[in-house]
Amino acid sequence: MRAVFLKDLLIALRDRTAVFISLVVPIFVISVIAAALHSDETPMIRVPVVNEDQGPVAGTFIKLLRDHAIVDEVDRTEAEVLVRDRNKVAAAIVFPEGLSKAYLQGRTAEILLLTDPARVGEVQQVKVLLLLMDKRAAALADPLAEERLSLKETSLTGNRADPDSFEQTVPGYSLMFVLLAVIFGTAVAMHDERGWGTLPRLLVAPAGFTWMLLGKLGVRYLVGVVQMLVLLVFGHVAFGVSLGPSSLALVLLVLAMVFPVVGLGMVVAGLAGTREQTLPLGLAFVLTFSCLGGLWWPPWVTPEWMQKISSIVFTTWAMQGMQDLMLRDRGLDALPVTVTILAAYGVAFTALGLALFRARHSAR
Amino acid sequence: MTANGRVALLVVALVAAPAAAETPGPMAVTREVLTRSNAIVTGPGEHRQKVETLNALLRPFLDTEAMGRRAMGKHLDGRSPAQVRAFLDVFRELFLRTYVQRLLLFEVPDFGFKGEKIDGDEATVETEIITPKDRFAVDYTMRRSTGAWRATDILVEDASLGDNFRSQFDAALAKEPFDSLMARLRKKVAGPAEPEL
Repeated sequence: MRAVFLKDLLIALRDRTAVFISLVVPIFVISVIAAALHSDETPMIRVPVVNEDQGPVAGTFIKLLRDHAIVDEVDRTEAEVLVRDRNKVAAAIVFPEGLSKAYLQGRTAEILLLTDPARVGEVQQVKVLLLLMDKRAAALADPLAEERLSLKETSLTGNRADPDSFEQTVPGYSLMFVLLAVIFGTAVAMHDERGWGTLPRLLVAPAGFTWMLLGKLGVRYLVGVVQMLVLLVFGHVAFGVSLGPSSLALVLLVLAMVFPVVGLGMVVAGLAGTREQTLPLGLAFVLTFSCLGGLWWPPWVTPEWMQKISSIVFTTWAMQGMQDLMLRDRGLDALPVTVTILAAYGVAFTALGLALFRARHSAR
Repeated sequence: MTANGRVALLVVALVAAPAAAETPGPMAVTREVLTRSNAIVTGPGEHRQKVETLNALLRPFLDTEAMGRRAMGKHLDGRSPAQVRAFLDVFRELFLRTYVQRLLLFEVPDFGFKGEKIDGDEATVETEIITPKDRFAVDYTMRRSTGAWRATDILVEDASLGDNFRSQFDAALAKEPFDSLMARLRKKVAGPAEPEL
C-alpha cells in the first residue's frame, strides 16, 4: 500500500503546473466570490428621480432618498430611456406636479414608479426606500404619522408585473450548467486527442488543423445549444418560466450565447498543458463568469467596481438577452446588439483558444 | 435672557397686549410672526435650535387650546378636567411640532400677505408661501380673546390643519380607546423631533 501511495504521489506531483493551478485557482475564485458578497461598503442603489413637483415636499423626499440611494435628478424622458431602453436602472421615481400641495393638505399623494420588472429585486429595494421615506416624511404631514403616499407602478418593459423567483434562477443556472458541460467537454476532448495519440495526425491533416478543430468544436457547440434549449424548456414546463413571445428569437439567442462558451472551452484547452490542468482552469472560468455575469445573483448586490467589470462580461450580456425575451416580453427587436456582442466574444475566444492550442501543441 | 426668551416676550407683547388704542390687528400680528419665522428659518443655526426658537415664537400666536378642543370634538365629552387638560397639553406640543416641521420644509420661504377679513372678534388672514415654482395659500383663522388676536386654525391650500387632526383622531378613536391614543400622542411628543431634512 505504501508503495502505491508513493507512486501515485509522485505521479500527482509530476505535473507541477496542475498542482500550482489547483492551489491558485481556488484562491482566486474564493477571492472573487468573497469580494462580491462581503464588501465593506453596502452598495447603494442608483435611482433616477423626476421632480415635476419642484415643491418643498418633493425636495424633502429627494433629501431623504439621498440617505440611502444614489439619486440622479433627470427629466421624465431620460428616466424612461434609462429604465426601458438602456436597462441601466430598475426603476425611476416620478414626483408629479402638485405633490407638495396634496401632501401639505393632508391628502394622499401619488408617486409614480416607472419600473423594469425584469429586475424585480432592485424594484423591491426601491419600494422599500419609498416606504422608509414615507414613514419619515409622514411625521411632517400629520400627527399620527400615517403614510400619506400611494404608489402607482408602471412597467416600461412589457406586461410582466411581478416575475417569480424561478424566472430569475432558471436561466442563470441553466447557463451555468451549459458553461460547465461545454467548457469541460471542449477542453477535455482536445486533450483526449493527445492522450489517444491522434493529435499529431490532426496537426498534419490535409484538411488543415484549424478546420479539424473547428469540426470538433461544432459538436460541442451543438451539444451546448441542445442542452440550453432542453433546460429552458424544462424550466417552462416544470416551473412555468416564460420563454418569451418569439421561439425564433429564443433559438437565435441560445445559438449566440453558446458560441462564446465553446470558444472559452477552447481557451481553457489552449491554456491547460495537460488534461489534469483543465479541471481547475475550467472551474475557474465557470465560477468566475457565473459570478460576474449575474448567473447566481443580480449584479446590483455586488460592489460598484465589480458591477463595472460585470458589464463587459459575456455572461452578463447572455443574461440580459434572456431577460429581454423572458421577462420583458421582447422578441427579435431585442437581439441585434446582444447577439452581435455575444458573436464577437465567440469569435475572439475561439480564435484565441485555437491560437493558444496550436502554439502549445505545434511546438511539441 | 436667551434669544428664544426675547423673541417669545416680544410676540407675547404683540399678541397679548391689552386691547388699547394701538392693539395690532390680525394681519399685523400674523405678518410679525411670519416675518420672524422667515428670519429664523433662513438664518444661521442648527436645525434643532431653529425648531426651539420657532416653538417659542409660535406658542403665543397659535391658540392650540381652541384647536385641540375642535380637533377632539365630541371625544372630550364626559372626560374629567384632568384628562382634558392632559390632552390639550399634549396637543399643543404636537401641533407646534407639526406646524414647525412644515414651515421648515420650505428652505427659503417667502411670505406674501394678501389681505384680512375681520368680522367682530373673528378674522381671516390670507397669506401665501411663495417658492420659485409655486405659491401655497395659507390662511389663518383668527379670534380675538382678551384683546389679542390668535390663530385658531390654519388652512393650507384650503385644507384645515384642525380638520386634518380631527379626522385622524376620529379614525384612531374608532379603533382604540382614548387612553391608548393619549399614550401614543405622549410617546410621540416625548420622542425626539424629526431629524434635520
